[in-house]
Amino acid sequence: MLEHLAVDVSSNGAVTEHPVLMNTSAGVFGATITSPDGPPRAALAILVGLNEERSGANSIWRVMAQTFAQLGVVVLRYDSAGVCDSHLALEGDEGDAATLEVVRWFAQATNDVPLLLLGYCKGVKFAVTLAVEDPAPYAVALVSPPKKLFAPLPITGLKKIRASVSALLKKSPPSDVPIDIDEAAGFLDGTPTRSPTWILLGTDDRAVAEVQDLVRSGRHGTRLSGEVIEGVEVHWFTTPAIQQEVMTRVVAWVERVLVTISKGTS
Amino acid sequence: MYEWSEHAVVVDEGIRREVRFISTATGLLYVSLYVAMDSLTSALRLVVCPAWHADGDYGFEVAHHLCAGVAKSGGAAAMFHWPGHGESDGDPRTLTIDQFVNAGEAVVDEVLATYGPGTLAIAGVQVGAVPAVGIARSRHAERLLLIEPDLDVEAHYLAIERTARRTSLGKERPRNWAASRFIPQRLREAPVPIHPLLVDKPSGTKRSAVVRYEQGSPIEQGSPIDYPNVEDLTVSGSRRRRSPDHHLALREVALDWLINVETANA
Repeated sequence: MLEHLAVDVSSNGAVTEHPVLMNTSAGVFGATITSPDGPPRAALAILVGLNEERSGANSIWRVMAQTFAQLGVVVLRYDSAGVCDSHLALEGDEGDAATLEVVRWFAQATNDVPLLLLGYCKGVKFAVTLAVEDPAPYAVALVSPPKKLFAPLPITGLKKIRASVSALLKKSPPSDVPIDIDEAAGFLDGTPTRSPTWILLGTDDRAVAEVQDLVRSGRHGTRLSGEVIEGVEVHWFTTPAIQQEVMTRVVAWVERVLVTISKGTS
Repeated sequence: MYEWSEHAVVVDEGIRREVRFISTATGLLYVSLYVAMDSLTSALRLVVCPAWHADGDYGFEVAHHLCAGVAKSGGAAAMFHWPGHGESDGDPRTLTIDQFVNAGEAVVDEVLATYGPGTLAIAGVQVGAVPAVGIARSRHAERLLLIEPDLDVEAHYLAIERTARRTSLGKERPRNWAASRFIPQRLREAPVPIHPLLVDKPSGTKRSAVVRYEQGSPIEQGSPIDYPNVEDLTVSGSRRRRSPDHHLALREVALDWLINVETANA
């Protein structure tokens, strides 16, 4: 596994990187599509973290995309709104909406193969949002998800009542209810139900207890699984060893998903 | 499947933007190009060396905004990712200043080949100022603009390492590693000789300037620029990294110098 992560695939002709620019409602976004040598077996969108560029720390997402492409997967990575080639794109809510436009464009362009979503940090929010849209992604991976995805920040009084009523009526919560409730509800009630979901984090990540409790609860059966790397915080990928370990495990997830695709199961 | 290469060009707000890889000795180099949409009304041809990637939220934005500003004024501009960083091939652990200068020279050649000859200007942001000096010399640039220059490479990375030690809170940290990426250690071993900044004719740069914050600049606070014939463009009342407004003011002063110097000589 480690050997093929170290391969300089950009020079061996096995994969091709296509830099692209996209007009969105919030301005121009920069991205790279990494495509395999032949017809792709799947499409994967890497949903990067807050204010992160498409290559990631130490080019971790670029190396992963090259590795996925070697496995036959076409991959999208983008610069966050306000960053690098997306520097002129509006940030905030407009930037978030535009990010979803970019991923939907990619999903539409590759709609002849199964779609996989890989969200990291803030990118998990986008993954959860997209996972409940049609068509459902074939599989979802969440790397170092924010704690609030599992344990929404406490709300009190009238807001709590309004959120409960909204949940009962299966309506969106009122706009003044914290977004955390929306994200948590979206994840717990939607994502693993529609798409097999795999979560990766370290024992020092903030959400580890919540992830472990949720997986053990069996709420989503085998459709939700998690892996915890001992003794580290995955968030920020603070050492080369953590980066390598994360790459190894995420590539293994993609390989497992590709096996199910080839078998025609999910 | 999609023709991804069709999406390498976009037109936005009167600017034609294009992203592409160019071949260099260190592999593929990622380049982002900006040009006036309708016609080149200015002879200005700018190449920007951005800051080190870990300072991307600052140094990359300055680079992109300068390029966009030059394109809006009727000229052509480009910035690139350092070899071994971001979308460019290479190994940051073995990156030398010669490789960095060679990469910048390749971008100069690409800009001149794409948009035709003109008044060549080289800009460098923070530690990107060091290769900018080398490129300006070798390609006989008429303009050299150094933005918040960290001309002492050793001091630049020592400061980054100090910050990394503080933020790691005593946890074990790999050698030559900061901000979740490898420090390009070999840049420190054989830096470009900066003195004298301006070389006598025939290879000499006709106009050069340093743009800096009034406070917090790597160049000692309150000290005059210690290079003969280099204009000192200190942004009055500004502080480094204190406010987006200060950042914007620095950018605007830099852009104003580039464009007005060109206009004055047109």
